[in-house]
Amino acid sequence: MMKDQMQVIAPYFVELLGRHDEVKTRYRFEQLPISIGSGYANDLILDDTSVANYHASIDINEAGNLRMRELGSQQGLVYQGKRVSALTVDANHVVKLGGTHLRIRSAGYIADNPTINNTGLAFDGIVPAIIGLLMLAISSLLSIWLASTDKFSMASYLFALAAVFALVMLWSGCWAFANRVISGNTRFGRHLFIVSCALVMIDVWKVISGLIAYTFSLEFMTAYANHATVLIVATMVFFHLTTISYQHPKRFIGIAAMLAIVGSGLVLLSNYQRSGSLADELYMSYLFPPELRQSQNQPADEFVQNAEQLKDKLDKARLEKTDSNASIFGQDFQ
Amino acid sequence: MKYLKLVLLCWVMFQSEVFAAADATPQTQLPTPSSRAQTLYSAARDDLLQIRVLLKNGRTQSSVGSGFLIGTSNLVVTNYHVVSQIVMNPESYEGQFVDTHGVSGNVQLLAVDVLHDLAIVKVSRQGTGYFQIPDDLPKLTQGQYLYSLGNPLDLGFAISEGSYNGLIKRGFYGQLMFTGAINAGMSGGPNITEDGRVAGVNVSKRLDGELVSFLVPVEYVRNLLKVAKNSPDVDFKKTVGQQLLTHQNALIANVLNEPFSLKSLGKYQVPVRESDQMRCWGRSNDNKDSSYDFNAVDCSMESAIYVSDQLQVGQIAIRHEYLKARELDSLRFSVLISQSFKNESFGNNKDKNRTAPMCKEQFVSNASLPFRAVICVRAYHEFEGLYDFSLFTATTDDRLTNLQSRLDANGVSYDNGLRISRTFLNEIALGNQSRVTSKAVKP
Repeated sequence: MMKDQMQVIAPYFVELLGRHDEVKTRYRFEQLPISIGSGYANDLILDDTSVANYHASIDINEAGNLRMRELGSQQGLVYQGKRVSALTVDANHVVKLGGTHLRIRSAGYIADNPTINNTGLAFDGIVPAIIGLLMLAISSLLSIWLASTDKFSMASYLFALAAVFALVMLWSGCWAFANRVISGNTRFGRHLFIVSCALVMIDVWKVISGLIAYTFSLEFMTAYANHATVLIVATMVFFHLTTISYQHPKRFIGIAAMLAIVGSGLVLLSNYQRSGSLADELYMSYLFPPELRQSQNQPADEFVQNAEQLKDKLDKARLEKTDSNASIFGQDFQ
Repeated sequence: MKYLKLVLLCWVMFQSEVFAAADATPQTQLPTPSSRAQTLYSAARDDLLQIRVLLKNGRTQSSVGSGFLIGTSNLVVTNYHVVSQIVMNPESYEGQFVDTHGVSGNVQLLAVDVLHDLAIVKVSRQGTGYFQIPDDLPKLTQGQYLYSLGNPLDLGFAISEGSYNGLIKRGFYGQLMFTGAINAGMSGGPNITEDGRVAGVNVSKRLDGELVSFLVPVEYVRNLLKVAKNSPDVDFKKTVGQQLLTHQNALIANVLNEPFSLKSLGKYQVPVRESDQMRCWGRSNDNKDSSYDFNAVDCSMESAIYVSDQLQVGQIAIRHEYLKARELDSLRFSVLISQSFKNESFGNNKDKNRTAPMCKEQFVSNASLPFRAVICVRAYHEFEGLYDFSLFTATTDDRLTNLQSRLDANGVSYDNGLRISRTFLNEIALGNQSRVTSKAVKP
């Protein structure tokens, strides 16, 4: 491994880190040992009230590795959540002294290959922005054209396009702002691409789910289609988050999953309150050209006869007296 | 589309704006009473009552109507809709009467007839014998004078003069047309002939007409009085439920006893029913520039059975909408008909009287056509065995023409709901039946 090959050679650097392990200050020392504390007799003075006067010192051990030792403080050294009195520090070890996080590196440290961190984030700038807006424009114009039964009117197309563009600009602007605050660059083009993809996918999903439902008589495809939309939105948020910071993919998956679960829950809840059923709609309403139909039709008499099955459920629901104040929680989850 | 503008004349306090507005128009001004009216009023006034429905909590009045004492008994005739709150919600409401001298007392419900909108109540005083309901009822001739009595708008007791104009069968149960002023609050009051014989009971008026009012014929009062004397009711809600069941049986039998009449709509033949009770109206988009043709037929009954303010039942409605692409391609036509198919309401989950709708949906075929069909049913919380049926279909036989039909049957039994739905669904056909039937028979 590369780290094993790193040599410990002067000068030495002590780096004070921020919450996201970003370097806030870097101190250069030509020789060891380095004493650290809040006292002014130290080589490195920390302005931290929870750091002892003489807190720790850094020197080199017999094996030639950097070592950090505690000099008798109340809190000592904390490494990975555990208190230690001394430890051998690697270039990537972050040690906590009081409330200060720090890292020690020597001139022998070789930084990681810079391309690794930028994997997947190179897709940024004007190109993705234009691709995204183009996809969005095509999809919006198509849906307006499909819904238009009146004479062609340029204005309606332009207004709709302007509205959609304004919306995605605003949305990606917010993410770009957050991006700028947290990691220093905006990545506006990439955020724009992400939201455009999501919106196009939502439209495509609507058509596909409707088509499948119509063609194969699979009504549940549209009855619960909103959950797929929620999933698309959650995925979009995941990509926004990883654009801001590539360091915590697992945490972001968790956030996106949480968002999806909460979103789906809210969809179910509002469906129930509105119509008394968990489905998004009472019935599948997509009608496509009849040539697409693949599954068999049911005889009309049989269909009406099957409606008989609703009777028992209705008679049961009838007796559940409606209380004007009854909420879904009062009624359903008792 | 024509909307029904019939109001029941029980005066509910929170409706006062509506009636105040109506009050300002010349149509509701009472004509100057003749000397005959003066004589009648002074003879009848002792047996004339105002019936109030009060909230038990606080005894504030919730609605007011009128009533009249029969003979020398303590029985009072009024409208069902005046006392409907006591029937539907006896825990919260109670009745009170006030006579022309300002004396008041309690009211006890004895019998109800929700179909004819009548109720009999018992009060703590006797009549003087002015209003008689004899076995031989007065024969009315068109144009003869009639007088309605009651307490309009809670302003004080009044009499209004008008004339008899025949038996109207627009509702399910015949009503007399009285061309005279009846105002809110006069509901349940008597309507008498010049010689003081009871002709009917004030019940409603048309808001879109001038002085077009309706009376319940006195024969139904006579029938209900017999019930009240012989077997007074205890559970009125149950009685109402039974009466509604009887009503829907007669209604469905009436609709289904002969086949639906078929109207042609584009290339389709659609079932409708036109009768005294049910009127059909057509509409179309009439726009030469439109990219599609739209034609529709709406058939609905002009009246329903009033059960409570939120609940009017016993109605059948039929609607057919025909869409044909003129310049639209099949894709955009699909979007158009999908939108139209989507815009159907079957009620929501907030209705206190009915359950949330439960639906079955399927692609189906009758002998002539393939459809997308949806059937939604709701049950009534208060009335066992009564349901609202909605059947909604869209043809799936042609990429550029579409027929969407809807049948609503409110307040029917489950069997009747299925029966009318099945008949309706099977009646929708292509115009050229013979050709298509042979095609469909093919195994």
